[in-house]
Amino acid sequence: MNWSNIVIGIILLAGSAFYYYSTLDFPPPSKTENLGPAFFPALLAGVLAFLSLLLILNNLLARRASGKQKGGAVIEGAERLEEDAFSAEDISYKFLLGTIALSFVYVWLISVLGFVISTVLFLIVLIRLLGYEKWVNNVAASVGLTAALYLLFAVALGVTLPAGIFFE
Amino acid sequence: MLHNFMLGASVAFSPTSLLFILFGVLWGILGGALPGITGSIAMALLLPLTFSMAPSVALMMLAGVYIGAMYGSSITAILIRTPGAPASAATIFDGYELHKQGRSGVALGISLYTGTIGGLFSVVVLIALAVPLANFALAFGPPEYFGMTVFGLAIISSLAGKSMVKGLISGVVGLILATVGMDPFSGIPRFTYGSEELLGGIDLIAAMIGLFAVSEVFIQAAEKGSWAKVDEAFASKLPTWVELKSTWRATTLGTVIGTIVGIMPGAGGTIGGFIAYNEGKRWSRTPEQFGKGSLEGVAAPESANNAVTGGAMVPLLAFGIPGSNAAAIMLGALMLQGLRPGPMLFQNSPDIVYSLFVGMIIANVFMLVTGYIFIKPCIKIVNISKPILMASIMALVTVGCYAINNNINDVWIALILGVVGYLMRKYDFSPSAMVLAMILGFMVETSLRRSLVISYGSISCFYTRPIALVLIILALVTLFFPIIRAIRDERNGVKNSGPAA
Repeated sequence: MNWSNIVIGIILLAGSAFYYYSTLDFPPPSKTENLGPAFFPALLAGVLAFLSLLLILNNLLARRASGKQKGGAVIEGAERLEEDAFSAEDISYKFLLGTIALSFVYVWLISVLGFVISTVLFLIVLIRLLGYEKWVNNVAASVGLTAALYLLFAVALGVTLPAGIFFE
Repeated sequence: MLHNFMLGASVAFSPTSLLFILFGVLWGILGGALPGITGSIAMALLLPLTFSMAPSVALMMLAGVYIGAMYGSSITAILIRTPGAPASAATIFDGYELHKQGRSGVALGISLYTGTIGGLFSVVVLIALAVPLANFALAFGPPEYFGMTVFGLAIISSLAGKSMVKGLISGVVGLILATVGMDPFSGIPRFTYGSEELLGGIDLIAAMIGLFAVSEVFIQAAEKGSWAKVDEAFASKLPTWVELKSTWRATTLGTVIGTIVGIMPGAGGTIGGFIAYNEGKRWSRTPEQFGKGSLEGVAAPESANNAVTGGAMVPLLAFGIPGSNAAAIMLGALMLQGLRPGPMLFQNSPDIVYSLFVGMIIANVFMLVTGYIFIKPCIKIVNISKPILMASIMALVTVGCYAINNNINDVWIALILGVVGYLMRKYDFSPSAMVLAMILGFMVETSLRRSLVISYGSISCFYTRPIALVLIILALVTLFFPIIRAIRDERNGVKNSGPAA
């Protein structure tokens, strides 16, 4: 039995119910267009609910899903490769959660401090967080990269990047 | 047709086009060589830059990236036993072995030469197939398109995940995400929950960048340790003509297998490479050399993964249906310019389609010419520390997503879908199936509803039109065959409890 699959199945089941619920106040089909805006989403909600139940039941019965036995060295080889990416001991949750959190802060900071300052700060902190210890190289790379992105997008492509509160 | 080729060539041979194709090839080789950065990620990173380009130039550049990356990924596969992208995973068996024997240049050269052969052959097949298929597809009405898209999605989703249920769930969630925004028929907002930003739907380009590139940055960040350093001083002696000729059997097999696999939706360079390696071994005169530094062991997967590039463009150009991540990104680049691939593109803008044909040939030639010289600069960049590279990609992604519509919300979408993509890959769901379903979702729903408008509400249009009927039956067979097979195997007493042998 695989508990993570059962939890995912329950979340998807709840999601499909919520999605279906949202279709209920859509207007009914018109005279010329007989399916209306709600039909296709409602159909998808049904299919997703069915598949989520299948996922839950498959795992409750601790049996392998039928698609597993595609067999052959080819698929096996490709699968083993995929699994390598997630050999549990090698995953650092500090690096992972740190990168995700920093990225969210970065995007929020862009609207406050503008593109240039936030990008330099983000790069310096993320590069340090991921374990790079040479400060001089770090700052040089962060400033250089920000300048390169600014030149490419703002100067060459003419995109108006957010300037932030200090430059407005 | 000849006229169209002249038109395409005149676009493709303009200095701007040549420059961007060259840039695309080099960017692709580099992206391919970087562990974790696949061809489609390298393409997705350039996608925001294409909005200011002519559509033909954008497509040729992206095709160049795709082609270059297929070769680039063999560089790190051979030199540090880490495939730059899964497409070259089968190359490590013999490529790294050759490197250890001091024949690195021979392995890299075989990869480059056979890759070029595979790539060029697949473009010829692409031209031979796409033009008549597109003419055939001109007769398609909404019921045929409905059957086609459902069939495509059924193959993609059932091939995508390790378990078929998870692949299908990924596809259905993609279809669900595609329904967010203004309903194309009634004009009412659906699933926007009061947000004005969501009225236009979830931006596809931001979604692709998030699911492909951002999720990969998170995966790389979570991995402890750095990549192995690549030694710049490798034996650089190139293969001789005799050595290249000795691989003809494997190269031919790889080229044909790669082209066919490329045409099939849902299968790509990774599967093509592995099948070609196995078949190359089976048909080789010296199968015992495989795994011990066989040149054929490099030629088979490397000709195959480059041959995938032409094949993958067939369903995209002929029917407007992308079968792989790379094709999805090419479609994204066209949609950014308000165009849609498919038979109408051949009619209305033959210059775009035919310049892509010519551009892909040019890209293969550029790869052949620059591929060997560019190895050294590539190694220098791969040797830059991983934290700096990952942080750079994150910043590039952020500014790129912002640039698509000058809108910070697209960056949020990319970031959130990056987290979703990470979780999906961790729990064996398929971000590719989700993206392809997001792209096809609009087409599935509109073709279904339009079919019923045309037939005044009668579903007979799906079974009285032969092409539509065949496509729908194929879709049903794809979806139900694995279940039927599972039941049959169980009856025959095959135990499913262990992994398949």
